[in-house]
Amino acid sequence: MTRDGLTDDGLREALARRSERAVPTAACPEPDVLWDLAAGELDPAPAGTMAAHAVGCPACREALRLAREAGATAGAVGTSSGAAPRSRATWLAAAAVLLVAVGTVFVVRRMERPAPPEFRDEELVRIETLGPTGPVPGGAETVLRWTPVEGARYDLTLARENLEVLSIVRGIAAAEYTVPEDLLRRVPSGGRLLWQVEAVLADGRRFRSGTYSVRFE
Amino acid sequence: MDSGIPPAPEPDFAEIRLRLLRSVRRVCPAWLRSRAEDIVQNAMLRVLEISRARESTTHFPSSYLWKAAYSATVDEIRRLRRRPEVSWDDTGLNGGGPVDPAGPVDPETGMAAGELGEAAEGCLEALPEARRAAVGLYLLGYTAGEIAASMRWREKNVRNLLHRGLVALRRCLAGKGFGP
Repeated sequence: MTRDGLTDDGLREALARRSERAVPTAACPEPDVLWDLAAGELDPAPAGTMAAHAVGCPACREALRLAREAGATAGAVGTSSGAAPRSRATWLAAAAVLLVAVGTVFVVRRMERPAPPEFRDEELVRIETLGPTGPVPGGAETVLRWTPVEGARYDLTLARENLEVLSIVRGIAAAEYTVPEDLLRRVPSGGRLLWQVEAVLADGRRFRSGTYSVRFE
Repeated sequence: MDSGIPPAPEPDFAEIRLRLLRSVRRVCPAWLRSRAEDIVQNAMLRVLEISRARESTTHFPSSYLWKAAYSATVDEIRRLRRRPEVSWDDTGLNGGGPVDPAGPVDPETGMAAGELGEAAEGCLEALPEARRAAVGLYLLGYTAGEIAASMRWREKNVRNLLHRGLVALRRCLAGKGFGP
């Protein structure tokens, strides 16, 4: 091997070739988690764990490259330099909407309940998924976990992939929820269960997570 | 019904589709690149289905559609990769498959790159977690600023991790016979 192969570009190409035939494993996170990682929407601890797996996994490396190409990082970077994706302005436009729109997938919920005091400082409280981060075998017990918020109870919305709301569970005390079997049966094999949690503080303030998904094998 | 939320801008599906297609073509290996149209088309169908289901209540934010389109695209790629009927011949390396726009790969060069890639993977694994993440993302094309934003680190720390990590990576590779 010549020294040329050890340039940054040579290393990039060599690693990219390792991805060409890569088959994802059960350890691979869902694509939306990889997107969140690229977009800087994971807390540092889960991001570190996720990145440690992803950069060592040929299939996830390819997905992370695609996330960057598709503009996931555009919203996360204010003034990046170097090889920026093409037409950054367009990506930024999409990302600008992201800042406003994160957490509005389940808008129906807002329409159903009386408007509580809402505090949307995402820098202050962020709720991230702690699992499951990979596909779940059909029929297996499924426990949704998220980062706890001190003193909060949680409202959880569960929906199918077509955003049909399956259940809204209010007042959960712990930062986790075991999905009932009868509800799991309503998600087809290979389908996804979407979930979003909202932390409700005693003073009525609410902090909403992003929307996460669990895929069933 | 008035939800009190201003409607999000109408998503530009054609724009999303076009950009995804370009991205998939750039990122995927030759055999998948030839299927890029199908991959993105299937992904867009899913996105359109979701969007239609929501139309009665509100428009989807464009950002959500981008993420959904990306997820569907990666799912498609993963699905194709898992299909047993995709033969190695489809990789394009044996002459029967699609042609890599980058040109034919010299077998010796390809083998050397494969060995280097394997060695680099091993050396990456040996790095401490933070350096591994920084160097790994950098070698995927992420800039220091993008790594900092993705990982929520300070850019100065990222540059430090990259400097030390790349030195360690090359030292490790040299130990495996890949060096000047």
